[in-house]
Amino acid sequence: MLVNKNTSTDFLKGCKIAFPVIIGYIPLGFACGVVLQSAGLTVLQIALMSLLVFAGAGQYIAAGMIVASSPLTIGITIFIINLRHILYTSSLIPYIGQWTNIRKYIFASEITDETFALHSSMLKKNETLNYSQAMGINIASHSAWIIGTILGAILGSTIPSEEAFAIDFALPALFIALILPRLAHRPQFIAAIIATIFTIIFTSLNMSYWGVILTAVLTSILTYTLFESHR
Amino acid sequence: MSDYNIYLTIILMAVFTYATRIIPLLVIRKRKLGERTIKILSFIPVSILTSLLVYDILFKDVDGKRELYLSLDNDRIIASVITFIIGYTTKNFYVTVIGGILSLIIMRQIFGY
Repeated sequence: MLVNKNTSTDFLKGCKIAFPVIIGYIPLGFACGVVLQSAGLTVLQIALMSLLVFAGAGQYIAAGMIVASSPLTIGITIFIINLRHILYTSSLIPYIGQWTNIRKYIFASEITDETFALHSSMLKKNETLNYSQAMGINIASHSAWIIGTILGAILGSTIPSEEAFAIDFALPALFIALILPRLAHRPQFIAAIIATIFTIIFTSLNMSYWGVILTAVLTSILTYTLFESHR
Repeated sequence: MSDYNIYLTIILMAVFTYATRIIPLLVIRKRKLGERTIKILSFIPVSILTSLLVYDILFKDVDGKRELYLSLDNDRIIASVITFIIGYTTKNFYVTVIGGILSLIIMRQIFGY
Protein backbone atom coordinates (compact mmCIF):
# COMPACT_ATOMS: atom_id res chain seq x y z
CA MET A 1 0.00 0.00 0.00
CA LEU A 2 1.27 3.43 -0.87
CA VAL A 3 1.40 5.78 2.05
CA ASN A 4 0.42 9.32 1.23
CA LYS A 5 3.29 11.66 2.07
CA ASN A 6 1.06 14.15 3.87
CA THR A 7 -0.47 11.36 5.90
CA SER A 8 2.87 10.19 7.24
CA THR A 9 4.08 13.75 7.90
CA ASP A 10 0.90 14.49 9.87
CA PHE A 11 1.23 11.19 11.73
CA LEU A 12 4.82 12.02 12.76
CA LYS A 13 3.71 15.49 13.79
CA GLY A 14 1.15 13.85 16.06
CA CYS A 15 3.89 11.66 17.58
CA LYS A 16 5.94 14.78 18.33
CA ILE A 17 2.97 16.54 19.93
CA ALA A 18 2.59 13.48 22.17
CA PHE A 19 6.13 13.89 23.52
CA PRO A 20 5.18 15.19 27.01
CA VAL A 21 2.61 12.42 27.38
CA ILE A 22 5.23 9.82 26.41
CA ILE A 23 7.59 11.23 29.07
CA GLY A 24 4.81 10.83 31.63
CA TYR A 25 3.42 7.48 30.47
CA ILE A 26 6.62 5.43 30.53
CA PRO A 27 7.24 5.87 34.30
CA LEU A 28 3.50 5.76 35.14
CA GLY A 29 3.15 2.61 33.04
CA PHE A 30 6.26 1.23 34.70
CA ALA A 31 4.74 1.67 38.15
CA CYS A 32 1.48 0.12 36.95
CA GLY A 33 3.40 -2.84 35.50
CA VAL A 34 5.13 -3.40 38.84
CA VAL A 35 1.79 -3.41 40.68
CA LEU A 36 0.11 -5.74 38.17
CA GLN A 37 3.06 -8.10 38.24
CA SER A 38 2.97 -8.34 42.01
CA ALA A 39 -0.79 -9.00 41.76
CA GLY A 40 0.19 -12.19 39.93
CA LEU A 41 -0.17 -11.31 36.25
CA THR A 42 2.37 -12.54 33.68
CA VAL A 43 4.21 -10.16 31.36
CA LEU A 44 2.04 -11.34 28.46
CA GLN A 45 -1.17 -10.69 30.40
CA ILE A 46 0.03 -7.23 31.42
CA ALA A 47 0.99 -6.37 27.84
CA LEU A 48 -2.39 -7.62 26.61
CA MET A 49 -4.22 -5.55 29.22
CA SER A 50 -2.30 -2.39 28.30
CA LEU A 51 -2.97 -3.03 24.61
CA LEU A 52 -6.71 -3.69 24.97
CA VAL A 53 -7.68 -1.51 27.93
CA PHE A 54 -5.25 1.45 27.93
CA ALA A 55 -6.65 3.15 31.01
CA GLY A 56 -4.12 4.05 33.70
CA ALA A 57 -6.29 4.53 36.76
CA GLY A 58 -8.47 1.56 35.79
CA GLN A 59 -5.49 -0.77 35.46
CA TYR A 60 -4.05 0.32 38.81
CA ILE A 61 -7.35 -0.38 40.51
CA ALA A 62 -7.73 -3.73 38.72
CA ALA A 63 -4.36 -4.73 40.18
CA GLY A 64 -5.73 -4.13 43.66
CA MET A 65 -8.93 -6.07 42.98
CA ILE A 66 -7.68 -9.04 40.98
CA VAL A 67 -6.86 -11.22 43.97
CA ALA A 68 -10.26 -11.00 45.65
CA SER A 69 -12.91 -9.85 43.16
CA SER A 70 -14.79 -11.53 40.32
CA PRO A 71 -14.05 -10.55 36.69
CA LEU A 72 -17.49 -8.94 36.34
CA THR A 73 -17.09 -6.84 39.51
CA ILE A 74 -13.76 -5.58 38.22
CA GLY A 75 -15.27 -4.84 34.80
CA ILE A 76 -18.12 -2.80 36.29
CA THR A 77 -15.78 -0.91 38.64
CA ILE A 78 -13.54 0.01 35.72
CA PHE A 79 -16.62 1.12 33.77
CA ILE A 80 -17.59 3.55 36.55
CA ILE A 81 -14.05 4.88 36.95
CA ASN A 82 -13.81 5.50 33.22
CA LEU A 83 -17.20 7.15 32.75
CA ARG A 84 -15.43 10.48 32.26
CA HIS A 85 -14.42 9.23 28.79
CA ILE A 86 -18.01 9.92 27.78
CA LEU A 87 -17.37 13.62 28.24
CA TYR A 88 -14.19 13.42 26.17
CA THR A 89 -15.69 11.73 23.13
CA SER A 90 -18.79 13.96 23.34
CA SER A 91 -16.78 17.16 23.28
CA LEU A 92 -14.65 15.92 20.34
CA ILE A 93 -17.64 14.84 18.22
CA PRO A 94 -18.20 18.28 16.60
CA TYR A 95 -14.64 18.11 15.29
CA ILE A 96 -14.63 14.55 13.89
CA GLY A 97 -18.04 14.63 12.20
CA GLN A 98 -16.51 14.49 8.70
CA TRP A 99 -14.58 11.27 9.39
CA THR A 100 -15.82 7.84 8.31
CA ASN A 101 -17.45 5.79 11.05
CA ILE A 102 -14.60 3.26 11.17
CA ARG A 103 -12.11 6.06 11.77
CA LYS A 104 -14.24 7.50 14.57
CA TYR A 105 -14.43 4.13 16.35
CA ILE A 106 -10.70 3.43 15.95
CA PHE A 107 -9.80 6.91 17.18
CA ALA A 108 -12.13 6.70 20.20
CA SER A 109 -10.51 3.44 21.35
CA GLU A 110 -7.40 5.36 22.47
CA ILE A 111 -8.96 8.31 24.27
CA THR A 112 -7.54 8.87 27.76
CA ASP A 113 -7.24 11.91 30.05
CA GLU A 114 -3.94 12.81 28.45
CA THR A 115 -4.61 12.08 24.77
CA PHE A 116 -7.88 13.98 25.12
CA ALA A 117 -5.97 16.87 26.65
CA LEU A 118 -3.72 16.99 23.59
CA HIS A 119 -6.59 16.65 21.10
CA SER A 120 -8.55 19.39 22.80
CA SER A 121 -5.61 21.76 22.35
CA MET A 122 -5.74 21.11 18.58
CA LEU A 123 -9.39 22.09 18.17
CA LYS A 124 -10.25 25.08 16.01
CA LYS A 125 -13.76 26.41 15.67
CA ASN A 126 -15.72 24.78 12.82
CA GLU A 127 -12.68 22.79 11.71
CA THR A 128 -12.30 19.03 11.46
CA LEU A 129 -9.41 17.42 13.36
CA ASN A 130 -6.63 16.01 11.19
CA TYR A 131 -7.10 12.22 11.39
CA SER A 132 -3.47 11.21 10.76
CA GLN A 133 -2.15 13.68 13.30
CA ALA A 134 -4.76 12.58 15.85
CA MET A 135 -3.78 8.94 15.32
CA GLY A 136 -0.11 9.89 15.68
CA ILE A 137 -0.91 11.35 19.10
CA ASN A 138 -2.94 8.27 20.07
CA ILE A 139 -0.57 5.56 18.85
CA ALA A 140 2.58 7.22 20.21
CA SER A 141 0.95 7.67 23.64
CA HIS A 142 -0.51 4.15 23.66
CA SER A 143 2.87 2.65 22.67
CA ALA A 144 4.59 4.50 25.51
CA TRP A 145 2.00 3.11 27.93
CA ILE A 146 2.43 -0.47 26.68
CA ILE A 147 6.25 -0.22 26.77
CA GLY A 148 6.16 1.32 30.26
CA THR A 149 3.96 -1.44 31.73
CA ILE A 150 6.02 -4.20 30.07
CA LEU A 151 9.24 -2.70 31.46
CA GLY A 152 7.66 -2.50 34.92
CA ALA A 153 6.48 -6.11 34.67
CA ILE A 154 9.96 -7.34 33.68
CA LEU A 155 12.22 -5.15 35.80
CA GLY A 156 9.99 -4.95 38.86
CA SER A 157 10.85 -2.46 41.55
CA THR A 158 14.60 -2.38 40.86
CA ILE A 159 14.62 1.19 39.54
CA PRO A 160 15.22 4.14 41.91
CA SER A 161 12.24 6.21 42.98
CA GLU A 162 10.50 8.44 40.47
CA GLU A 163 10.33 11.22 43.07
CA ALA A 164 13.97 12.26 42.78
CA PHE A 165 13.51 13.01 39.07
CA ALA A 166 10.14 14.68 39.54
CA ILE A 167 8.56 12.25 37.12
CA ASP A 168 5.40 12.47 39.23
CA PHE A 169 5.15 16.03 37.93
CA ALA A 170 5.35 15.25 34.17
CA LEU A 171 1.59 15.05 33.64
CA PRO A 172 0.65 17.96 35.94
CA ALA A 173 3.21 20.11 34.06
CA LEU A 174 1.60 19.01 30.79
CA PHE A 175 -1.85 19.92 32.06
CA ILE A 176 -0.64 23.38 33.10
CA ALA A 177 0.92 23.93 29.67
CA LEU A 178 -2.40 22.97 28.06
CA ILE A 179 -4.59 25.03 30.41
CA LEU A 180 -2.54 28.25 30.14
CA PRO A 181 -3.28 29.32 26.55
CA ARG A 182 -7.01 28.97 27.25
CA LEU A 183 -6.96 31.38 30.18
CA ALA A 184 -6.57 34.42 27.90
CA HIS A 185 -10.22 33.89 26.97
CA ARG A 186 -12.29 35.24 29.89
CA PRO A 187 -15.08 32.63 30.05
CA GLN A 188 -12.45 29.86 29.97
CA PHE A 189 -10.58 31.58 32.79
CA ILE A 190 -13.74 31.74 34.90
CA ALA A 191 -14.42 28.08 34.08
CA ALA A 192 -10.99 27.18 35.48
CA ILE A 193 -11.74 29.06 38.71
CA ILE A 194 -15.16 27.43 39.08
CA ALA A 195 -13.68 23.98 38.36
CA THR A 196 -11.04 24.54 41.04
CA ILE A 197 -13.70 25.32 43.65
CA PHE A 198 -15.92 22.37 42.69
CA THR A 199 -12.97 19.96 42.70
CA ILE A 200 -11.86 21.08 46.16
CA ILE A 201 -15.40 20.60 47.48
CA PHE A 202 -16.08 17.23 45.80
CA THR A 203 -12.66 15.77 46.56
CA SER A 204 -12.96 16.84 50.20
CA LEU A 205 -16.27 14.96 50.24
CA ASN A 206 -14.26 11.94 49.04
CA MET A 207 -16.05 11.69 45.69
CA SER A 208 -12.82 11.12 43.69
CA TYR A 209 -13.76 10.11 40.13
CA TRP A 210 -17.38 11.12 40.34
CA GLY A 211 -16.17 14.48 41.60
CA VAL A 212 -14.12 15.07 38.45
CA ILE A 213 -17.06 14.17 36.22
CA LEU A 214 -19.51 16.27 38.20
CA THR A 215 -17.07 19.20 38.25
CA ALA A 216 -16.75 19.16 34.46
CA VAL A 217 -20.50 18.96 33.83
CA LEU A 218 -21.49 21.60 36.41
CA THR A 219 -18.67 23.98 35.47
CA SER A 220 -19.49 23.82 31.76
CA ILE A 221 -23.20 24.45 32.26
CA LEU A 222 -22.61 27.19 34.83
CA THR A 223 -20.01 29.03 32.74
CA TYR A 224 -22.24 28.78 29.68
CA THR A 225 -25.17 30.22 31.63
CA LEU A 226 -23.02 33.06 32.97
CA PHE A 227 -21.43 34.11 29.71
CA GLU A 228 -22.87 32.73 26.53
CA SER A 229 -26.56 32.10 27.04
CA HIS A 230 -27.75 35.69 26.62
CA ARG A 231 -25.63 36.42 23.61
CA MET B 1 -7.39 -16.06 40.28
CA SER B 2 -7.08 -18.72 37.56
CA ASP B 3 -5.50 -17.90 34.19
CA TYR B 4 -8.91 -18.28 32.59
CA ASN B 5 -10.40 -15.70 34.96
CA ILE B 6 -7.51 -13.31 34.41
CA TYR B 7 -8.06 -13.35 30.64
CA LEU B 8 -11.81 -12.99 31.20
CA THR B 9 -11.11 -9.99 33.47
CA ILE B 10 -8.89 -8.38 30.83
CA ILE B 11 -11.53 -8.86 28.14
CA LEU B 12 -14.33 -7.47 30.34
CA MET B 13 -12.17 -4.49 31.29
CA ALA B 14 -11.47 -3.87 27.60
CA VAL B 15 -15.14 -4.09 26.62
CA PHE B 16 -16.37 -1.88 29.48
CA THR B 17 -13.64 0.72 28.93
CA TYR B 18 -14.26 0.81 25.17
CA ALA B 19 -17.94 1.31 25.94
CA THR B 20 -17.17 4.48 27.93
CA ARG B 21 -15.26 5.79 24.91
CA ILE B 22 -17.84 5.08 22.21
CA ILE B 23 -21.20 5.65 23.96
CA PRO B 24 -21.37 9.23 22.58
CA LEU B 25 -20.68 7.94 19.05
CA LEU B 26 -23.57 5.48 19.37
CA VAL B 27 -25.98 7.97 20.95
CA ILE B 28 -25.28 11.14 18.96
CA ARG B 29 -24.88 9.33 15.61
CA LYS B 30 -27.83 10.67 13.63
CA ARG B 31 -28.61 14.02 15.17
CA LYS B 32 -26.31 16.99 14.70
CA LEU B 33 -25.32 18.69 17.93
CA GLY B 34 -27.01 22.04 18.50
CA GLU B 35 -25.16 25.33 18.82
CA ARG B 36 -25.88 25.44 22.56
CA THR B 37 -24.57 21.92 23.23
CA ILE B 38 -21.38 22.67 21.30
CA LYS B 39 -20.85 25.82 23.36
CA ILE B 40 -21.38 23.98 26.64
CA LEU B 41 -19.01 21.22 25.50
CA SER B 42 -16.36 23.84 24.69
CA PHE B 43 -15.88 24.29 28.45
CA ILE B 44 -15.29 20.59 29.09
CA PRO B 45 -11.53 20.54 28.27
CA VAL B 46 -10.57 23.43 30.56
CA SER B 47 -12.76 22.18 33.42
CA ILE B 48 -11.52 18.57 33.17
CA LEU B 49 -7.86 19.61 32.93
CA THR B 50 -8.21 21.98 35.87
CA SER B 51 -10.09 19.38 37.89
CA LEU B 52 -7.50 16.64 37.30
CA LEU B 53 -4.71 19.10 38.12
CA VAL B 54 -6.33 20.31 41.35
CA TYR B 55 -7.15 16.71 42.37
CA ASP B 56 -3.54 15.72 41.83
CA ILE B 57 -1.66 18.78 43.19
CA LEU B 58 -3.72 20.22 46.05
CA PHE B 59 -4.48 16.84 47.66
CA LYS B 60 -2.53 13.88 48.96
CA ASP B 61 -3.42 10.32 49.92
CA VAL B 62 -3.93 9.79 53.63
CA ASP B 63 -5.15 6.32 54.61
CA GLY B 64 -6.69 5.79 51.19
CA LYS B 65 -8.52 9.13 51.25
CA ARG B 66 -7.66 12.35 49.47
CA GLU B 67 -6.91 15.12 51.94
CA LEU B 68 -6.36 18.79 51.16
CA TYR B 69 -2.62 19.51 51.34
CA LEU B 70 -2.24 23.29 51.24
CA SER B 71 1.24 23.79 52.66
CA LEU B 72 4.63 25.15 51.68
CA ASP B 73 5.86 21.59 52.26
CA ASN B 74 3.80 20.59 49.25
CA ASP B 75 6.59 21.03 46.70
CA ARG B 76 4.25 20.26 43.80
CA ILE B 77 2.16 23.38 44.51
CA ILE B 78 5.30 25.53 44.35
CA ALA B 79 6.41 23.75 41.17
CA SER B 80 2.96 24.38 39.68
CA VAL B 81 3.23 28.11 40.36
CA ILE B 82 6.69 28.15 38.77
CA THR B 83 5.34 26.21 35.77
CA PHE B 84 2.50 28.72 35.35
CA ILE B 85 5.01 31.59 35.45
CA ILE B 86 7.33 29.91 32.93
CA GLY B 87 4.35 29.27 30.66
CA TYR B 88 3.00 32.78 30.99
CA THR B 89 6.33 34.43 30.18
CA THR B 90 7.67 32.08 27.48
CA LYS B 91 4.35 31.06 25.85
CA ASN B 92 6.20 27.94 24.72
CA PHE B 93 4.60 24.54 25.25
CA TYR B 94 7.75 22.39 25.55
CA VAL B 95 9.71 24.95 27.58
CA THR B 96 6.80 25.05 30.01
CA VAL B 97 6.57 21.28 30.48
CA ILE B 98 10.32 20.68 30.73
CA GLY B 99 10.94 23.85 32.78
CA GLY B 100 8.22 22.76 35.21
CA ILE B 101 9.73 19.30 35.71
CA LEU B 102 13.25 20.77 36.05
CA SER B 103 12.08 23.27 38.68
CA LEU B 104 10.84 20.41 40.87
CA ILE B 105 14.02 18.36 40.31
CA ILE B 106 16.10 21.37 41.39
CA MET B 107 13.91 21.94 44.44
CA ARG B 108 14.23 18.30 45.50
CA GLN B 109 17.91 17.74 44.64
CA ILE B 110 19.40 21.07 45.66
CA PHE B 111 17.01 22.53 48.21
CA GLY B 112 16.20 19.17 49.76
CA TYR B 113 12.42 19.35 49.48
